[in-house]
Order: sequence, then C-alpha cells, then structure tokens
Amino acid sequence: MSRGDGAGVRRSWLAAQLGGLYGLWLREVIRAIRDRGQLIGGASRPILWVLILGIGLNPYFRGEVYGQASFVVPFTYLQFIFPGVVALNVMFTSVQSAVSVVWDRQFGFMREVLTSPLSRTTILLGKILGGSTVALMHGCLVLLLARFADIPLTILGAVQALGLMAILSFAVTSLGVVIANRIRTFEGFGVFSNAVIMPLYFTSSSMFPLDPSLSKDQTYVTYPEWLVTIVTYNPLTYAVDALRGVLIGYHQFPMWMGIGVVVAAAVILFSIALYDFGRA
Amino acid sequence: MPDPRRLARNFGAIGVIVGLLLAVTFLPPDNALHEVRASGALRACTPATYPPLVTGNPDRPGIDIELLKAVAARLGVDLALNVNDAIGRDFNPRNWGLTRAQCQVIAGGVVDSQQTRSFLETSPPHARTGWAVISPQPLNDWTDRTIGVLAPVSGFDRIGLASLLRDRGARIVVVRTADELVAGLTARRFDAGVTEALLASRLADEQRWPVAWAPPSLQRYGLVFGLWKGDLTLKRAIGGALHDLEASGTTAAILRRYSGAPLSP
Amino acid sequence: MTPMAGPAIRVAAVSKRYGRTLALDGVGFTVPRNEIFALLGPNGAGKTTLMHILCTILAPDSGVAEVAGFDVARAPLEARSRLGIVFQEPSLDDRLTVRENLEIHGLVFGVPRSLRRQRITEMLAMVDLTDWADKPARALSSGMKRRLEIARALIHDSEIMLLDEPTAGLDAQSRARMWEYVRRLKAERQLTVLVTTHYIEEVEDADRVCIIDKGKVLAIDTPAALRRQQGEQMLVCTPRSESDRDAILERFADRIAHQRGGEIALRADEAFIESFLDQFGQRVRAISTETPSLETAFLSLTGRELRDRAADGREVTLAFGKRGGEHTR
Repeated sequence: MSRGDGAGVRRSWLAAQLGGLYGLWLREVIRAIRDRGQLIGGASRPILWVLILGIGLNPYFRGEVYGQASFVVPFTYLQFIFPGVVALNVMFTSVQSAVSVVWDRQFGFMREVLTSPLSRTTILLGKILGGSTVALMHGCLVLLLARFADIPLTILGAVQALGLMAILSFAVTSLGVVIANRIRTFEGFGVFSNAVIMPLYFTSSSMFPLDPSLSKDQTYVTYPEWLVTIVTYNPLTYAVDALRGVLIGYHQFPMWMGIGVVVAAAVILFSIALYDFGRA
Repeated sequence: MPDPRRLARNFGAIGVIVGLLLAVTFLPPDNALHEVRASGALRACTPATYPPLVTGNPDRPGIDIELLKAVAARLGVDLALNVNDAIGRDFNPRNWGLTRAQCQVIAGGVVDSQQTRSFLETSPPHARTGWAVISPQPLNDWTDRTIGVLAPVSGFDRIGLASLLRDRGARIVVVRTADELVAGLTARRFDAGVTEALLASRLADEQRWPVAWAPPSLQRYGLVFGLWKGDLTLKRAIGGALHDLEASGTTAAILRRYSGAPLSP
Repeated sequence: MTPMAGPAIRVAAVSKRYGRTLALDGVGFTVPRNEIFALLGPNGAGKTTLMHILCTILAPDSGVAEVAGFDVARAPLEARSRLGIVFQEPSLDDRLTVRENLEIHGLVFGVPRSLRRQRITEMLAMVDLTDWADKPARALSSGMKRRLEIARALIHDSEIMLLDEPTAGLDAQSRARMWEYVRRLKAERQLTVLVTTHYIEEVEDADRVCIIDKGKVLAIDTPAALRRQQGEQMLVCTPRSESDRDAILERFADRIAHQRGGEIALRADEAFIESFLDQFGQRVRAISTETPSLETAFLSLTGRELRDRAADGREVTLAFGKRGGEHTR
C-alpha cells in the first residue's frame, strides 16, 4: 500500500492548482472527442452554412447582375459568410460545453470537484478553458473549408484568426456558464440554440452586411432602424467584423474595436461566472 | 505506448470529419469553368489598343493577349476577343460598361486595386506597372531639367507625378506618343522621360538607355486579369494556368518580347 | 501530513435549517481513528445533510464539524485533501474510461504522476476492476461503478472515507461485496470509514452505529449494545375485530410499542406472553413474537420502520440521465 507516500512530494499550492486545471481541461477535451453528436454538428454546420447557403446566395451577391451593379463589396458571399460561420461553430460548441455544467451539477461530477482541494476559480477556469479549447477545434474545422470559400489563408492570418477565435470561445463559454448557472431545470440544448446562439448570430451582420458604402443615415434608409440598432449593439457584430478583417481583409469597424469588445466580453462574463460560482 | 486501437477510438471520428471537410473543398463551388469548357472558348473583353498589353496588331497582339492565349490553350479552349473601347480609360472597371454576357475575362489595363476588387475578382498579378523614368544619361538632380511625360490612356496618378516633378524643380513637357518622347530624348530636348513602366522598359531596351521606377511615393500597380465575382472555378483554373506559365518561364519570355527586361517589382 | 492524534471526525452541536425544516438539530458525535461508523436513519433523517457538511459542500448554521482536526468551515481545503468521498449519486464521468476517471481524479487532487500511476494500478486490483481499466465507465454495472468510486476516493492521501449510501440501488450480492471492500480497506489502510445507510442489516458490520432521525441523534453504540438496550422482545398480534382490538389496547395501554396496519406490537417477556394468551388467545387472528434485533431497536427508537420512499424529483431526473439523457440533446 502506498498510502502516505505523497507526504514527501506534496507540491506547492500553485503546482497543485495547475495540475488540477490540467485535469479538468483534459476531461473536457476527452469528453468532446468522445462525443460523436457534437462532432457531427461541428462538421455539418460549416458544410450547410458555407457550402449550401454560401453557394446558394453567392450569385445574388455579385457586384453585377448582368450589367446591373447592386451592392459593391470587395468579396464574394462565400468569403463574406465564412468568418461568420467560424464564429457560429465556435459559439455552438462553446455553449454546448458550457451547458454540461448543468449535467455536472445534476449528476455529481461537480460535487466530486467541489470537494477537491482546488479553488473555485481553478475549477471554473478549467471548465471554461476546456470548453474553449473544444470550441476552438470546432472553429478550425470551418477553417478547413477556406480553400472552398476562396479565403487566402496565410500563416499570419491563421494565427491572428486563431487568437481571436480563442478569446471569442472563452467569452462565449463564460456566457454559457453564466446562463447555465441561472437555470434550475434543464430543457435540453435546443433552448440554448434557439434562445441564445441563433439570435446572436443572425443579428451580428454575420449573414448579411450592413452595406459599408452607405453612410449612417443611408443605412437607416436601407434597413429598418430597429434592425440597425440591434446589430449595432450586438457585441458579436464586432467580433465577426474583426475575424473578417483577419480572414478576408475587410472590416467595417476598426480592428481594435473588435478585439476590444471580445476581450472585454471575456473578462466581464468570466467575472460574472466566477461570482455566481463562488455563491453557488 | 500509444495503442493503435485506442488512438483510433479517440481520434478516428475526428479524422473522418477532417477528411470529409477536406474532401468537400474539392467540390466545384460554381459552373463558370464548366461553361467555358462547354462553349469551347474563353471570351475576353479587351480594349482596342493599350500598348504594350494590347496592341491590335495580329502578329504582336500584346502581353495580356498572348498570356490569355497561353492560358486558354492550357484550359484546352480557344480565346475569343470582344473589343470594348471603354476598358482602360480609367482605373475604375465599373465605368467600363461590361456585363457577364459579353465575356468571362477582362484584360488590358486591369490593375489590382481595392476599387477593382469591389467589382471584380482578380487573377494573381502577372506584371507590375506604374511611372518609370528613362534617360540617356543617369540623372541625379532634377532641378531645372526638362522632363518629357507620356501619360498612358489609363488613370495613372498624373497629379501626383506633376506635383512631385514640380517639387523637385523640373519642367514638364507633355508628349502624345512614344516616338515623340524618344525623339525628344535623342535630341536632348528632354533630360529624361517619364511614362508607364512596361512601355518605358521597352523604349529603354530599344535605345539602350537606363530605366528606373519613379520614386515609391507614386503608386505602383499589379497588372491582373479581371474575372466576375463568384466564378471561383474559372478563377482557380486561370490562376493555376498562370502559375504554370510563370514556372515554365513563358510569362517572362512574353514580357521580354514586349518590354525588354521588365523592371523588377 | 501531520500525524494526527485525536479523533478522525468530531461533530458538535451541528444544526442546519432549510427554510422551515430543521434538517439537523444539534447533532454531535465523535469518530475515533480506524473505525467503521455507520449513520443509520430513514430517508430524510438528515444523514446526507450531515455528509455534505462534513465534505464542505454545505456550511452548518451552527456548531462545529472537524475532519482530521480541521474545521470544515475554516480550513475546507485541508479537510478535503484528507477525505475520500463516495456520494449517494454516481459522480463518475460516463464518457471517460475507468482509468481516465481515476487519472483525472488524481490530477484534480494533485497526486504526483508516478504515485498516481502506482495507486491506480493498486486500487483497480483491489476493487477487481483491472480487466475493465480501458472500458468506458458507462459499460460498468452499478455495483462496479460503486467500486470504482471507492477506488477513486483512495487515489489521493485520504485518511477518512465518507460513504453516502454506498449500497443504495445495488442487489444483495453487490451490497455484501461492497461491505467486504469497506472492511478490507479499514484493515489494510488504517482508514476511518463513515458510512450512511438505510439498510438496517448492513450496520451489523459497523464498529459503531449512530441512529439518527428527524435531524436528531437517537442513539450511538455498538450494534450488539444497541440490540441489548433497545431491543425488547415483542409480541405482535392481529385482533379479530374492532372490539377485540379496543379491548387489547385498553387492557395493555402501558405495553404498546407501536401499531402498523392491523397489527399491534406489545413489549413482552415470557410471563407476559403466557398471560396474554390466556386472556386474548381466542380474540386474535394471528400472533407472533419478535426477538431483539437492530430492526426492533430502530423501531422502538424512531417509532417507524425503515422503508424506501418513492423516488423524488431529483432521482427522476437522475434516472433520465441514466437512460441516456445527454447535454447535447
């Protein structure tokens, strides 16, 4: 029996927390790898959104429709929607991972962790980092379609995109945990998808651009004011915009704004999640 | 030791999905290339003349035309030209009055710029252009010198050039043709000449004069072929053909034939 | 680790209230080292609440709970690192393999790599799951899952095991086997084991039993002593009619232990049985005697039998999860 052998090698608090963080992170990643359903979703979303929707709408998005110039933008629709689909896949997977907090709570794993010598911050961070990593992997699945959508993916561009995606994953996973902490009964993932992800996605100018060549007043003429307002206040708008800037070199807002919004969202949402978690 | 069975269980599904997504990228996203192959001809809109890109001379048709012919040959189709005088009048392709019904490729004065890309898809650039300086004797100081300027038909930045020359204290004489410019330089009426880079290097080659890019404060452009947005398959096929031509030295040979030794970018 | 003198667990005057229900009402006891201590009580007696306080999930409203000398409210991390806990609800990760479940527990509890590997091998062998090491946890039977959870609780330097209803939902054979492991643990690893159960026959294996009901400690002693003190011989009869029943109740009002259904239980001794048969022999349909057991001890202390209740809401959700409810659906 090896009981007590640990006495001599008892590690520092920080090392123990880091080891635990790695354990929790590893668990999330292993679970995700085993989850066929999630993987299928991660593959089918990009295929449907990029291939089917992208190709379907591509002709309508040409600079000319047999001589008639409509919207003049320096990209094709496939290129335009691509960064949005990256964000969509990241969001879906982030929230999926975050929602597993509900199951962990219901089915005991959370208790097993809460009675470990790990601090609450470490536990939450492990959970969120694990979920973000999985979400980042799912975002990369979309990047595999870059050739198809004619995205010139350079190494620098890919690295920048990965950085943005990582912060976005962290922010959305935190958001998922914040919401999951507030629900007592679990109605299934569909509720999240329909109530959180899709509305955020559709109102983030991921699917259609608010025409960049129009001035603010003209935008209000082209689109109803309420829609423009929603899009303007949706933080995801800025995240997708920055991602678009990195991937296809086109952005409506300054890059710092997109990065700033995502980082701020990550910090704020994580703080809220931590506050909730400390009380729970 | 990684047990292959366990590895397969853990990463098998991921492998399958990555494979599926990569396989999907080989699906043709549109039928532009298919259309070209079906009709047996690559239709190109070009200006009547835009030397040295398009000359109008059947024996020496111009850089863009020769390149497109080589591209069409690689695609296994003929090249059909559709002459449109508006092309190259300025740098904004939207003003050229082109439609998808007329042609699939636009050649002869399409430059790689944000403005072009807002309207057209572009092939990778096959040559660089911009203002270039030729002079019988190298010129270090432009003060009180007379400069002959031959402006090409397209929308080069004439204002930028004019203010640069004036800032350096040069006198500007505008000429109409290449012959006029060469005559002026030969007769020492001009100390130097400024014109479009490809033309400049041809003249320099013929006269054995040195040639150089104008100062980098003046914009340089990549010369490209224009394609309609969304014709991704055609764009890839043309891009691939151009890449092959570049690799086999055909592009360089064509450029040498029209402009001597082109200026390195 | 500090080699500890003093008790493994000390609970003093602990109270906990949920809204208007007083779940624990001044509970106190001490568990010395290397003892199997059983908390016996019906569902809702407060056993699980007490467990949660000991494993630092809940804070007591008042009173002190100490694990290995550490106050669970003041030094929860110290307390936790010395506890091995098996919860009532399964807390394994179904998607992970048996080994991965142990591995991640080891990481979370900061067990160094080589020691972790060594203990995982040892513990798997101990609970006879070595052949299952690379199978996903969901492939295990519920008995095997429990054994795995016990193995998991011993991957880190646990000195005290808290087992919350470790045998709930297991068949008789698995339950017997579970106790075999618990006894072996105590013998081989000098562990202190605090176990809750509502299966009365199981606590015979414990060193001491604490009977708890409605948040109050009713008795603490060895199983044998409890039987002696509390267990009286009982005479259980079923009267023929209402009038017979009333007559018996009136005649032996001072001996009534309890009534259940049509039966009346009376505290008895040999002489009493003789005289009862003389007087009421014709007026009862059935008669039996019960010799002292923990069951009767429990009955006389709490006035009710231990019986499983219908599944509550949480267990229903749990069952849904077991049937394959997953978070991605």
